[in-house]
Amino acid sequence: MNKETKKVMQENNELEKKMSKKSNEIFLNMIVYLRGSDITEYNQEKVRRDIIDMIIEGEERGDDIDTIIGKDYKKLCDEIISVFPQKNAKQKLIDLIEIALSCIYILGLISVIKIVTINLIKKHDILKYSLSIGDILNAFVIFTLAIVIVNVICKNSFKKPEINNKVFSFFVTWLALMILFCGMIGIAYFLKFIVISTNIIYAVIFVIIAFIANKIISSRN
Amino acid sequence: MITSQMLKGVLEGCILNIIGKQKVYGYEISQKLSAYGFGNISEGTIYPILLRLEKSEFVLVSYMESSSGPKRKYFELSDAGKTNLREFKSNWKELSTAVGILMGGEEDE
Repeated sequence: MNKETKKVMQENNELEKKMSKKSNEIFLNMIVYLRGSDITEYNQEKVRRDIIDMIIEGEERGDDIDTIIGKDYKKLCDEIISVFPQKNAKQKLIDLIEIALSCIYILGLISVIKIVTINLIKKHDILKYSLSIGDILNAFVIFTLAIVIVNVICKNSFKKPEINNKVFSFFVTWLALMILFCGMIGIAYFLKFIVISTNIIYAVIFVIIAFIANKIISSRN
Repeated sequence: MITSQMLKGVLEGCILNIIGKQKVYGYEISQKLSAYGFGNISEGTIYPILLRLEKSEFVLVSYMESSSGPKRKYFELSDAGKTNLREFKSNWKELSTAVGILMGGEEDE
C-alpha cells in the first residue's frame, strides 16, 4: 500500500467512528464487498471517504442510512464497482504475487522460529534448516485457503447467514476447522520426505527478501 | 412515479445540467432533482453517476467547509462536461420530439 493510500485509510478509520452503530454495520458490509472487487486500494479508500462523508452529513441532518444511500446497498456497490476499470491479467498476477510473498515471509518466519526452537530442545545443530514435502504442501493449503476465505467473505458480505442458530453455526465452523487442522497434521505427519535442507541463515535471508519484495510491490500497487 | 429504468438513461444528463447552472454538492443535487419532480432520489442513487462523471473528467471537484459535518465535495462542469451536456441536450431534443410525435399520433388514432 502506498503512502497516499495509507494516509487516506488512516483518516477514514478515524472519520467512520463518527457514524451511528446501525450505519457503521451496513457501511462495514459495503466496504467488505468493495474490498473483494477489482477497484484499486486507493480508489477503494476514496470511495470509502465519499460514503463516510455522505453518511455523517446525512446523520447530522437527522436522516438514517436508508434515506441517505437507499435500501439496496449491494446494487449501490455494484454500480460503484462498474465505474472503475476491471483489473487486467497483469495487475491480477501482481496482486497474487503480493499475497504469495506475504504468505512466504509470514509462514517462513514461523517456520524458522519453529525449527530453531526444535533444534534447541532436541539439541540438534541450531543452524540446520529443513523443509519436508508436507511443510510445503501445508503452506500451499494455507495460501489457497486464505485467498478462498477472503473471497467468500467479500462476495457474501450482504448475505444473511444460512444457519441462524448461533450454537449450531459455531459447531459447524468448529467441525470444519478441526477437519482442516487434522488434515494438515496428517499431511505433515505422513509426508516427511525432506526436499530442502540448508543452513538456517539462507532461510532467514530468503524470508527477508520475500518481506522486502512484498513491501516494494505493495508500495507501488 | 418515474421508474428507475426510465431514469437511468436521462439522469446523467439532468445531473450535468444541474451542475452546469452552479457549483453544487451531492445532497444539493438530489434535493434539486426532487424539486424538479424526479421523486425521492437519495444521494446514494446519484453517487455512482457523479463518480462516473468525475472519472470521465466531465466535472471538476473541489472541497469546501460546511456549516455542519465534514467538508463538502462540490462539483462544477469542465469543458468536456459542457460539450457532453450540449450533446445530451441535442439528443434529448431529438428523442423527445420523436416520442412526442409517436405518442401524439397514437392519441389521434
